[in-house]
Amino acid sequence: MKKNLVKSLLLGCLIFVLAACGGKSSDKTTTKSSDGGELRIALSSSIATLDPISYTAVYESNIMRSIFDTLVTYNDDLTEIVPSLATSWKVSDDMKTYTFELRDDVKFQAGKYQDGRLMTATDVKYSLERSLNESSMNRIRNVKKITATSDTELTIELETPYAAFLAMLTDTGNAIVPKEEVEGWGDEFAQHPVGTGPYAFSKWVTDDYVKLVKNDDYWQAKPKLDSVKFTFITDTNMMGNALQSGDIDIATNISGQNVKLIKKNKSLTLSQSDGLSIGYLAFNMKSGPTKELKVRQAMSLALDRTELVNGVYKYGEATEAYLPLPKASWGYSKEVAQTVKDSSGPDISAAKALLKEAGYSDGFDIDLYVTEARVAAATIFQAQMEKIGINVSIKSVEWGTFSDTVASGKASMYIMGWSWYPDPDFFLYQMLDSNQIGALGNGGGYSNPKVDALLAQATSETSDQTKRTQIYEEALQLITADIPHLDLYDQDIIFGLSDKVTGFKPRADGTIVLVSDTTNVGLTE
Amino acid sequence: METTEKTPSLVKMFLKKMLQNKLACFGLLMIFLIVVLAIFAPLIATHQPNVMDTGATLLGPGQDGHLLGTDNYGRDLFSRIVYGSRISLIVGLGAVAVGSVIGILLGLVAGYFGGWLDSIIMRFMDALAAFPFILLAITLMTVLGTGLINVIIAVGIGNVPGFARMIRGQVLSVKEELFIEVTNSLGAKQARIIFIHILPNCLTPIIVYATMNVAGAIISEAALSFLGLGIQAPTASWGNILKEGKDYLIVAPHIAIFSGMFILLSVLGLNLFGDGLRDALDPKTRA
Amino acid sequence: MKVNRLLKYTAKRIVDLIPTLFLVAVIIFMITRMIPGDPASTMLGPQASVKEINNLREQMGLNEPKLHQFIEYLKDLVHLNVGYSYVYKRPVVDLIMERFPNTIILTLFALVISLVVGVTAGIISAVKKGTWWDYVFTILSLVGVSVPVFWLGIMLVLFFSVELGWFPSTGMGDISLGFSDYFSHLILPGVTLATIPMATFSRITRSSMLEVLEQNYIKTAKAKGLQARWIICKHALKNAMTPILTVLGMQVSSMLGGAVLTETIYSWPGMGRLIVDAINKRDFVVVQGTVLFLALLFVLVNLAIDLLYKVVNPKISLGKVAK
Repeated sequence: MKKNLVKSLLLGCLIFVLAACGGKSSDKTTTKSSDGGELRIALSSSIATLDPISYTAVYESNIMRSIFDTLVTYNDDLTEIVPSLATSWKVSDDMKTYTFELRDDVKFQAGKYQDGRLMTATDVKYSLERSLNESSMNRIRNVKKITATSDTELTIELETPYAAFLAMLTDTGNAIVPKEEVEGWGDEFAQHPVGTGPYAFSKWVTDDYVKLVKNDDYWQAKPKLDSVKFTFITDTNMMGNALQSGDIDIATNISGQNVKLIKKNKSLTLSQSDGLSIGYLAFNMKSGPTKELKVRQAMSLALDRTELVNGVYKYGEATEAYLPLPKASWGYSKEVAQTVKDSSGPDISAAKALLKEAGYSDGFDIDLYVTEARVAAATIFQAQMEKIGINVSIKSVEWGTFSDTVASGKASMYIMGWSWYPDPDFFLYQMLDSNQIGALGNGGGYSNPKVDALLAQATSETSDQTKRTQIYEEALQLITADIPHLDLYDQDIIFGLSDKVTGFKPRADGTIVLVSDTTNVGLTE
Repeated sequence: METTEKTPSLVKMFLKKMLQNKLACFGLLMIFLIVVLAIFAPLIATHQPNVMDTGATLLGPGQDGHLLGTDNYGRDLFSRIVYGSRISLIVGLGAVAVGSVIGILLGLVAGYFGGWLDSIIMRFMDALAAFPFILLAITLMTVLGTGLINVIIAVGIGNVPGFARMIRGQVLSVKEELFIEVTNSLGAKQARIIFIHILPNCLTPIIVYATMNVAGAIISEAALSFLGLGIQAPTASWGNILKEGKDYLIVAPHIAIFSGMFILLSVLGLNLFGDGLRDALDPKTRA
Repeated sequence: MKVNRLLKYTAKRIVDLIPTLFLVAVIIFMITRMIPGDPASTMLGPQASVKEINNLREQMGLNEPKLHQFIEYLKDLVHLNVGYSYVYKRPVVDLIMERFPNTIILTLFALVISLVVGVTAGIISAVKKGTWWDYVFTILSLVGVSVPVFWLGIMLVLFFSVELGWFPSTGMGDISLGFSDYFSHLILPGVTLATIPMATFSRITRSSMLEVLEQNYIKTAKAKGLQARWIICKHALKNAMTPILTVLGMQVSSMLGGAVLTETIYSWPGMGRLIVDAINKRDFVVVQGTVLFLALLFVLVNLAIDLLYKVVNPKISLGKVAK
């Protein structure tokens, strides 16, 4: 093949450099038995904190999931909320009081300021209030009062009925921490975290790795691994290389050529499943040509989703999307998605006709804001819109600029991603309720009073998942008819795994859970 | 140019020297080829640089009539590289123009007037020069946002201190020479002195320095685009192509290899030419 | 008398640095505040509401008037305090001190490679002028100064990590796993960063040695004994020291800059990545602190090199350079 020729040419060029400095390759595979060993996981970004209340990135929460526990948690496929530190809970009829029964056998990992004491309801109250009052992340809200009624019982009173409240409690930001350690370390708690999780914090080398060691006293099960090392590899190609060369056991956020390479490699497994990440293009609903429904319809008809998704995700890392809700969310409606799909293009002549009706027979010029990561989608979209005379100019800006421009409603169009808890409230309300105008979620300024009313009803009238699903379905019908977004794709969650890894279960939110009631990750020879 | 007209024998000598220097000729040839690519891009390119073909992505060199293969959107790599030469040349020349005009003005003023004005300007230049160049460019691009003009400005500003320092040094030495003192005593206006007498005397080092800086500016554009802070997609620039190629390094290494080669060759050409130019203009320097 | 003058000169130069550094501080403060987007919304991510963003801004002190922020910043600087990162919730000094050694190791390693290989190649070229050794080294060093660092980095990874699997492609070695692990991680980034200075050193060594060798051309030819030829070469090399030093000073700045790109490609946990991350996260305090730190480093290295001149070449008058 030509490729090899090029490479041999390269060899010639590089011999000089090679001659200048010979060296040995590194070889450091350690032998492993079925229990024990060190699991090496690569994260795609370096972290800034390990304090639950101040974490901002999924990478951070991925490490913290093993150090800490939350009151309740999602099951493996994120369809329902299951016990964790709380064994059971009751919701009052007015949906405003939650009563939790807690486990009585949970011990904190030993630290500098306590030696592994029992966790009680007071700790839960302390941790949740800390998140409520000190975190700028707002991972728990709408809380009026938290009371520890006994060592193992806790009640939380809400300001207003809120059916999605439990979903918030699954967030690592609301993990349970020991007061002595938090106050003893002060700000440095972020570098010396202590929790109740299966692995205890051991070492953090800035920008390089975080190491955790087994917590023998873990309440749920005895962790199989001796230690876990999370390394930070910011370049995706480098991450693929590291997995192939055996420098790491689990690679996260796999995309692009790595998908192909991992599939080809017999000692590696590609784990691919539906995710909670959606990608969409949002229109400015308040000004410019996109204010007109006909223009949005025309662009929807000119869009060739298949080409776009296959072009951006060459190795099948995402699937075409038709709703502002991921397939992995329990509120996803196949019927509405089908309706949207049926009315979609590409149909260039119909699109042109609609543009003409809207008074733009010669097309128009418009800006499309994206961040670096979505330039590929924008590039293909641009080429598609050119066919109906719409001249899209891509503004690729840095995240800070992007969020500023979009939140203030100044972007004519933007492509963005969204991901949160599987409860539809965290998608539909956040992105499409008129209360969210001015926030990044509803940067397009979409406002439909009927949709607002339905979204409010879905969280305040009932906590029954089936009834809520129906309400969301109705809202989805209204929303998709207005076309505030062109929903483009649902990203899959893709891990690259070494065959040595056992018991690893990928989750739609991309979190890495090493020990739970259904799994206990280990390593084999 | 005034000085060269007066001394035709010098021009002859210069040309002879340049022609004798094989490496410089090779550099000149390379520059010439890149300029031809840039000017006649629409004639040379075999395809439209931005037209995608999602059915023919990541083709290897020579496949399906694509001389250098295709990129991840199925765009013809050769045509994109040909059009990319325009961006590289525009940024290279534009940034050096911005840097040299501002730098020369500041250097002339500082060197000619001296005193507190000199101190202020040169302190400011020292401060700018104390930033690692690429960091200054990255920060400026974050402020300005991506785009051709902004790349020119950001890289250009990075070039200012070098020009200012060099010109100031030249002005100081020229000022000491007698003939300026003579003109001074005749009462010529200051601006006239600066532009008619001092500037032409500094021209030689400026030209050499500028040639080298065009090379530097081309690399800077590529570096910024490589970091996602340069030219907007889908415009073909060598840095953009390289950046996209980086994501397909293993399945389609030709994208990164060829785009990088073109950056390397054009920079090499400019450096060789600059070297030759310096040797020919000033036989004493050799480095 | 002479030592006294040197000390006086050093003191004057150090005093001279203060306004320069002050200006650097002013410029970087102004530039960072002109960057669109604010740290609060960047930190909180897409899901944050306007109210949450505002609360965080308040906490970070970003709602204070710019002038007030600037005065606070200068006050802190006077007390040698470069600030407190609101993203990492740690003093900027700590962040710098954690990464600085990594950048220094990488840069020094690259510097050593480039000096050893570059000067050796230069000497060989000069001594064997006109032979194919000379041509090979000359062409390689011409290519070397022209190669884009980031491209070279990618090519080295493609070849030595992906294709041959000789060196790890990313990250820093762990000294606890032994020297070979540490060293193998250092090679590719080190070579990448070394290429341009290496080529520059080789060219400068060759040309300044030739100056002497050509002057002494006849002597060289006459000097039949190996020893005599060696003495002339030594003399020539000494002559090359001053230009090598000059180039060294210039290379330090570009190497610190090159380290930014090299660290990005190889996930090397150094200052470059800290700054790029900080710019992306709009962690202004970190950007200010690290840039100021690098600028300080840069001017100090240049000062040190100026002083070294005097040692290598006492003929240079102090007064002239001081101006």
